[in-house]
Amino acid sequence: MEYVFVSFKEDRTVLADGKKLGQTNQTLLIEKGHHCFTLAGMQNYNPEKVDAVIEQTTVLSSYNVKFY
Amino acid sequence: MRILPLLFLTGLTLGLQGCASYPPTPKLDHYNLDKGYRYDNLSDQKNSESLFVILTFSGGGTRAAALSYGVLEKLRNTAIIWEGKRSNLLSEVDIISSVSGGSFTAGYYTAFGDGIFKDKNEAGFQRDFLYRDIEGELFTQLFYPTNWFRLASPYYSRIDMATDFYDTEIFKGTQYSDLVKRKTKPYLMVNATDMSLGSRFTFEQAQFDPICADLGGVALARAVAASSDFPIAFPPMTLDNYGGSCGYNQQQPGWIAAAEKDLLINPSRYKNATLFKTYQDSKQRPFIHLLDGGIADNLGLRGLLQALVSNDTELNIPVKMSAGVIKKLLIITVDAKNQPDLNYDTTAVAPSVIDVLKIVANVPMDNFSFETTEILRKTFTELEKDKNTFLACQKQLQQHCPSAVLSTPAPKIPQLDFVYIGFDLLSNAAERNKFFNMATSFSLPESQINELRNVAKRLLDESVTFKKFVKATQ
Repeated sequence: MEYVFVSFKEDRTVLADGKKLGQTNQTLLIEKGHHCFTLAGMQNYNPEKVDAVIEQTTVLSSYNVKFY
Repeated sequence: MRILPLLFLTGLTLGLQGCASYPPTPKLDHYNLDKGYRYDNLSDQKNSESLFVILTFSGGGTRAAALSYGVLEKLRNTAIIWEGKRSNLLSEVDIISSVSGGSFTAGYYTAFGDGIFKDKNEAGFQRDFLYRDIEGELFTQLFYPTNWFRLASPYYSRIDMATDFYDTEIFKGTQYSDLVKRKTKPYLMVNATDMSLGSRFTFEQAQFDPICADLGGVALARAVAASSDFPIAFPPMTLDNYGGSCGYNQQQPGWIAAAEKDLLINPSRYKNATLFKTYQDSKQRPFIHLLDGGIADNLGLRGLLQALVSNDTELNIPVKMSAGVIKKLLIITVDAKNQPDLNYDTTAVAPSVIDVLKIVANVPMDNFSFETTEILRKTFTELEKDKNTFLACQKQLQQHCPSAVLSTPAPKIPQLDFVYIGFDLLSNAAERNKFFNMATSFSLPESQINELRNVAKRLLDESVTFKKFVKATQ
């Protein structure tokens, strides 16, 4: 398993490849590979989406995705 | 004048033969995630998700069906207290994934619940399947003149005849739409093998979406028959593929496009995407042919293994873990495999073609099953290790630098337990061999069925992991 941390100013649902992955500001479990991250709900964040390759993360060094 | 009866008979034969066909696969009008047989569409109030219990039942004919039946009996008699509520462990089972012989037990329990435990003197699973000479009765069916005409049709085969028999005699016409209406868990995953791809084909709406077919109108007996469609004994089962006609291709899940880029970094994810895409093209594959689920995975564990580590499946267990929904996760794998026959090596005479076919059909399957359980154990170990690493690091930090905090919070990884039930756990060699040598057939002597039911209970009683798990829930 890989680990991803999606930060945003508020608590929102994180979507990976259009599907619910978890909540913002939590350490989330994800499968290794290419993923497209977005947030559910209002489009009041930037960037619109983050495409990332998630691999070689550890529980102490998760991949960080930042939305503003 | 003599020609008239002959013409009549010929007409009747052609008429009956022409009518005989496998049941057409029901078409799905519109792809809709809110409808159909999907885990998320079940809302069983009695079954908590915080205690997440998964059972997998292997193939192995009645031997497998009886062993898994014994496990169900034991779970029903295992009292637990979870979140202040008294119940039994069986009522907490969320998912059953099954193959071949194990699919009869899994399917019957999902359709009829505790009705499966009726004594063999009453109408129920014991009388209608477990203690019945199914194999003999299927053979007898071949001698019914009506079946001669039907079997003469190229569109109706012995597997369709077996399906009709299971539907009438065992599953009493239950369709997947009945399971959707019931809404209760467990969620059933009956596994067959896609003959052309050699890959797992699970009877769930997510698998039927790309072929634009509605699982709701499919008989449970058909899924179970496909799952136990042993090659050579039965011809492959045919499904119609309407891929491209229900809007699925336009709204296909986002993971497919992402996974298509993963050939080098995650080949198994890439493979899943490419296999899935073959179903979407009904011009190239207007029909899908299915065989026994044991060819792709004789434990029924591979689909769950994928659901456990991947966000791509509808089950998506990582999301339930990340959200902290699952507190304890237990997987019980019931494996009724038998033993490789070493007698071939006691003589210089080369084994017969039949013997070679038997070996080719069974030995690679058992080796693959061994690998599957190893992958599951490794996955659990790694997740546990990650959880402990984080906690140890947090503790060190608190001790030596109390004002510092780790940059990210701890992932929510539940307690993970895996219980394997198989004859190789029996310490007494004579007893072990007795079970290993029980035939793979849909007809076993009553005494053997009783022994299988009892040994399942005993193996659970002797499992250290199971005992610890039960103790923690009492």
